[in-house]
Amino acid sequence: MPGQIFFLIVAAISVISALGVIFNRNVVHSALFLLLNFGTLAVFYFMLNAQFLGVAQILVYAGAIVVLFLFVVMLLGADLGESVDTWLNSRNLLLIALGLVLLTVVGTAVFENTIFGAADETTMEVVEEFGQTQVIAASLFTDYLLPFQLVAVLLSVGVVGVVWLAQHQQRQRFRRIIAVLDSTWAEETQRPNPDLLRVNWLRRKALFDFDQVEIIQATDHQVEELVTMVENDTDSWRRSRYRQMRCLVDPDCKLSEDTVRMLRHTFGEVKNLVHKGVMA
Amino acid sequence: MIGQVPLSYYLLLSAILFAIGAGGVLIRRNVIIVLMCVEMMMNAVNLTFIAFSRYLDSTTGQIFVFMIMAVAAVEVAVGLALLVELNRHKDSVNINDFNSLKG
Repeated sequence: MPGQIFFLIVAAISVISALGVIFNRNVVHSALFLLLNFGTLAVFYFMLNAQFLGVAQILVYAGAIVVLFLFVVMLLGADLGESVDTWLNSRNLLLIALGLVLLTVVGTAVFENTIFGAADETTMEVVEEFGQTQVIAASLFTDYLLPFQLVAVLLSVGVVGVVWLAQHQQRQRFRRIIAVLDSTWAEETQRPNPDLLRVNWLRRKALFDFDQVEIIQATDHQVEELVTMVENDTDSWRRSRYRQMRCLVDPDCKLSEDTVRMLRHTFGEVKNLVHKGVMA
Repeated sequence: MIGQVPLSYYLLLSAILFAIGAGGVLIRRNVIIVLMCVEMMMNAVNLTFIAFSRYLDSTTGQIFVFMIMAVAAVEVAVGLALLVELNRHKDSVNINDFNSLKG
């Protein structure tokens, strides 16, 4: 019986800390509750004679993953919490009910399972060597050698991927993207300097995150196409930026009054392009 | 002392933890919390694997958990890198703001 009482105490801590992760407004507190949750699971692993995995659990989850979470929280700012009323609404109550249904289904499956009865008898005998690191290692390096190596490949790919993502983001940070409407221009993009990217909108005919629009040589129809697309943009982040955006129009490009009015309506500032600069 | 806890206790506990994790994924809109809840669900499954491996006297379950841990570590690293990138781009961690692929 002392074993069961100990189990129930640790299980209670585990469930409470799991609830703490969800029902906490502060992301840092959530991460610390997650740490507690991982710790209790390590205790269970030790109780189940899985010493190697218990230590691995503490090292990998508590040591690496939670620290990574905390690091990202620090990086993005800790005040990322939602207010309670945004997540305790009727839709979420329905979802909580769905979670309870899931729990009921799984719980019933556990109690209906024939293993339930049979396994209780095997609980008493403890195989002396079971779960020891040597046994795991022997199995890992003979029967499961290929999966083990594949995991190593996966880890390497993961490292390369994350490094690439981090570099990519640094390269993009200072870049300004200009959407250019110029029918005399054949290329797709042009990069006059590392911080500036000019994209030929007439070839792309789609919306992307540009910071400025330049109309060098285009018909009224093409400009209208751009304006229609911008007006129908569903991306809220981009929508908020169009009103502050600058639109430069080459005086040589003969646009009708209506088109210019439309541009004024859509973009924050419509000006004449003074010098052709990088295009020349 | 340790061998006296029935298997069903472990299975039920991991079911509860899995349900809490799934509920968290559904109700929380903060991407960081959602990732944490995914981790919690994975841990619940790990507990099932280890409990079964103990009660069926087979180390296969533990090997599985070992692999899952490696995959989880990669998943968190890539997921958080993507999140940082998304946050740069959209200045938000609310999962409802990341809907540009919705079409």
